[in-house]
Amino acid sequence: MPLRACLAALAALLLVGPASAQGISAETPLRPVTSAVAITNARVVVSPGRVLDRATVVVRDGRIEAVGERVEVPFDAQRIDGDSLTVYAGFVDAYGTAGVPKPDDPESFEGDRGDPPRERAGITPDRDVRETYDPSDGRVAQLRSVGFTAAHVAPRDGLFAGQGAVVLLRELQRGERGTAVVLTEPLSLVAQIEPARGVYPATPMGVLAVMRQTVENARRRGAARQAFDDAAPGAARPRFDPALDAVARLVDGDRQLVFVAGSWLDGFRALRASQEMGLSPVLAGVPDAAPLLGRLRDSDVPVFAPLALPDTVKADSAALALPLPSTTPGEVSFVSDRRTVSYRDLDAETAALTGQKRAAVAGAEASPGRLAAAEVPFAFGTFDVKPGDVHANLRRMVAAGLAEDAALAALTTAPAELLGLGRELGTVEEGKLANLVVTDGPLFADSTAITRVFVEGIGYEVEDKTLAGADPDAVVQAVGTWDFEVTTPAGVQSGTFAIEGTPGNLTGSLTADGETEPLTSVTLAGNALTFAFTSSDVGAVTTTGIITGDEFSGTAEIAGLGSVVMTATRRPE
Amino acid sequence: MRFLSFLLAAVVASAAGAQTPLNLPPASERGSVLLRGGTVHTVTNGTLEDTDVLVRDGTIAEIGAGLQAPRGVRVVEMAGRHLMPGVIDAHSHIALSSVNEATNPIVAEVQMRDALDPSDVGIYRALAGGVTSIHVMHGSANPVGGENETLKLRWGTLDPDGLLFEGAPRTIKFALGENPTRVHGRGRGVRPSTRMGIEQVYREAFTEARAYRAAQLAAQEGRQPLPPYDRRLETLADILSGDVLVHSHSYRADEILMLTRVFSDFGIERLTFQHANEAFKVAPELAAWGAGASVFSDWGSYKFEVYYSSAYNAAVLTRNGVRTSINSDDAGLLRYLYHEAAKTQRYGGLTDDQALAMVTINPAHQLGIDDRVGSVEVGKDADLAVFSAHPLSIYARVDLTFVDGVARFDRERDGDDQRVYVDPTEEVVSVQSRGHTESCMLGADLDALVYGD
Repeated sequence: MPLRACLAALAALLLVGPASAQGISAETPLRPVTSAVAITNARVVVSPGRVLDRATVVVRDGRIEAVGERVEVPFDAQRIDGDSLTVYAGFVDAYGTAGVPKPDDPESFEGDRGDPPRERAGITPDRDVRETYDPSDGRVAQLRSVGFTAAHVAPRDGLFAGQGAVVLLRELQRGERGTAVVLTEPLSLVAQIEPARGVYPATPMGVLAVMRQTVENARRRGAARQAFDDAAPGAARPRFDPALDAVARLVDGDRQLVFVAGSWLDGFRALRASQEMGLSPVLAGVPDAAPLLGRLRDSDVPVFAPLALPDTVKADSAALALPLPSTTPGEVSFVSDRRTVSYRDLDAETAALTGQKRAAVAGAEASPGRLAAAEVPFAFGTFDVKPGDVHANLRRMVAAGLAEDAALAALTTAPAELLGLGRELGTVEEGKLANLVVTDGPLFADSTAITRVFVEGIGYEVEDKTLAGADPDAVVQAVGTWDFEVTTPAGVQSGTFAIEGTPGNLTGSLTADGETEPLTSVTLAGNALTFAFTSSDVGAVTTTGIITGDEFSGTAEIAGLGSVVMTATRRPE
Repeated sequence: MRFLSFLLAAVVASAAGAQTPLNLPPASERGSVLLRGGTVHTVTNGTLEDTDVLVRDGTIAEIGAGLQAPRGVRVVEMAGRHLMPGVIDAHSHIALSSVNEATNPIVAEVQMRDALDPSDVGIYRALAGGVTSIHVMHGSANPVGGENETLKLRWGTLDPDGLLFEGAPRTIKFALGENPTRVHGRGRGVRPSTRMGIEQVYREAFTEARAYRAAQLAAQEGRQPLPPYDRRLETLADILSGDVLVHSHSYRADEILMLTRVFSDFGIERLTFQHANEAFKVAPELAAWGAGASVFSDWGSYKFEVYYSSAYNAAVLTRNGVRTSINSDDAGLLRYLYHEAAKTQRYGGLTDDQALAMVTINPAHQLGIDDRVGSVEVGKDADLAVFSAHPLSIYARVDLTFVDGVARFDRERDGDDQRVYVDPTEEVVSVQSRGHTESCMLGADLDALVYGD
């Protein structure tokens, strides 16, 4: 429970503040002096595989006005010297929930658990994501800073969660309302095998039963309404039912079924249920799609693949001595003489599990490459990925066999096509929306940084994420007990954190409000100390800062909310 | 190209030896094998000594002497070994992601097919006990549970559909007695609170289902749009028309007779009682009605309604002409069902064939798959278990288990690590802290679902 009071107050401030910033207020950015921008003499990756080595991109009024090697720079354009820069199309997030508020946890339910109201059961297909989308959400800016310029956002909870639409990931401009960044009508209906808690349907099988019944009744509704309109004697009057009307749009083909599946097993269930319901889904999620490849290809089902990856599994020498379980059908890779017979074999058991876990992680890393090899159309979605992990994860996927062009396509052209927005998004071509990513090198290289992102012609400079004062060659000690202070707009909170262990193997704990939480991922790189912990009030907190002598100066970043200043002093021994 | 890579994979597999889920053939594979010169327990046609059984493309093609293996077909020397039909468990809860949709007294619309988990290592362990088919059931929290699923243990498939016993009739779980009254009556103050209440749940449900089906027929005849679709009533109506076989969790003699009367009133003809610990008290009545029983060998006294239990239950039922099977309801016991069957010889003196029928042809009959499995007969599916000794001997162990003629368990090639998938964040856990949970009641604690355990 550390950081409770201050961070909760901060959370409230961060959430409420920008959301009310509609119309003109002191915080609203001024209109830019010019709406034209020219990036000159840059390497332009028009689309995956199509590169102009030295070209100029002109942007005006939110559109790409010209792209080419002999383009004249308009007199009124803000000029960006692109000699050392590469311009890519802005990334399109095939599936995300940034800016979509989390529903409150359900309260204890007093009514008939077998027949709850449909909202409690998770049947909300009529929910329209555009009505709750908040462009000022902190995660929107974070995703933009890693290259995302447009996103198919979807409601979060429920078995029929609601309808998703595509939004532009930019801030509101002076005089604009939240609706200004909405690019499309609702185009998807999100289904997921998500049981309701403690009420019907409380199991995956209950969820699928409800889905089938709902879709069939949406089908029958059309016939019933027709019969009533034709005044067939005795026809029942159509009842007001916005949920069934919403599902009817799915049946009629006006909405794309996006079936979210958190695992390959749910993927099989989703594909089978969709087939039974006579619907063609897009399968969203599925960290490791390998078991599903044949089914996906046979049924022409595209995939929105998650950008999140499981953490790599640390392995000691015993675990590394074990061969990785193969994920290729037909290959044997297990040792055959290992017998776990008692607690004495726990080390062997742990080593075997570590091998299995490494295989599971490798399977997730290789999943996009396998989709590409199987020619299953796929696009990347952000789902619940930490924005800071996106590029590292992409590099892991490329290292595991995904071609760079295929990775770029899955970030740009593929999501644009799959969302029906190929005319507007996905490439750096004249007439398209001016959504661009500008880098200082090849996209999938370790050292490359994104320097600018344009969304509908509005440029955002991306701050250099390397810490001010960071020195990778410095030698400092992190071990000790530190008294810290966190400064938030709502006040100051103090506490302590303790670091122990040896470099490369640091652990620790953080105490505030009289309660202690363990630190995770404690790393010291040069003089930069990073650690994370979980606060039950505000969730994951990541702290980064520089150690100078016995002083620590840095920031604590609260997932989805923002960051606050944190300073600390080491206690004398 | 793909065909070639498959061939290559097969070579690699046989060279490396160990069998793991990843190198087993796909669920669609139908194998061929010659089992030469063993003792064959046909179950339906006595025991044949020194007999060959030829399996061709997943089917038992020939039974006799001096049979020749076609080119390329594996030969298993059976001298000193015993062959029996694969064990069938009429009551299991393994390979499932969820067991109870306990939120409503009637959930006829849910299907265990939607909860199948082909990566459950329990499947492999069952194969190691000679089991080839299981009946995975909804739990016993509700008077009317969901539709069960009959599976073939095609270990190695990751597609849940690969486990389905194609063509097996639909079956559904009913539950009488303390479990449903505890969950619904005592748990949340709705009917049923008593055994009387349970009877009324059935009578009302069937009456409503009749009206539903009648309204559908009227709409069709009057060329009206169909009334709103209700999967719960659809399934109940399918029970009335005999398309869905009922398997009812039950213990006491009075509630067993009650359900036969309800079914007679509604014209439902097939019924199997699960557990049925007091069935021996009403064995003649069950035989006259034509109901089956699927019982434990000797398990009782684990709660009030099973205090009056007897290890002679199966034998008494059999001698009275009730089609009886012995089930496990448990992932551990599932591996020793042939021992469970042998107990009917100690308690009741049944013959070998009668005892083996308890875990083969009788459960097959109760599941409506007796034309396909449950005995060693020409034309039946090659779902077979090879034992090192007489399967009713305490010294017997399973050497090989064939499903559709494919060896999915082979003791000689038994790979150690059969896990198909692990969570990258999983840790080794101590099993000491794990208490025994009645698997029938998994997921029935609704408060735990809301607030956590």
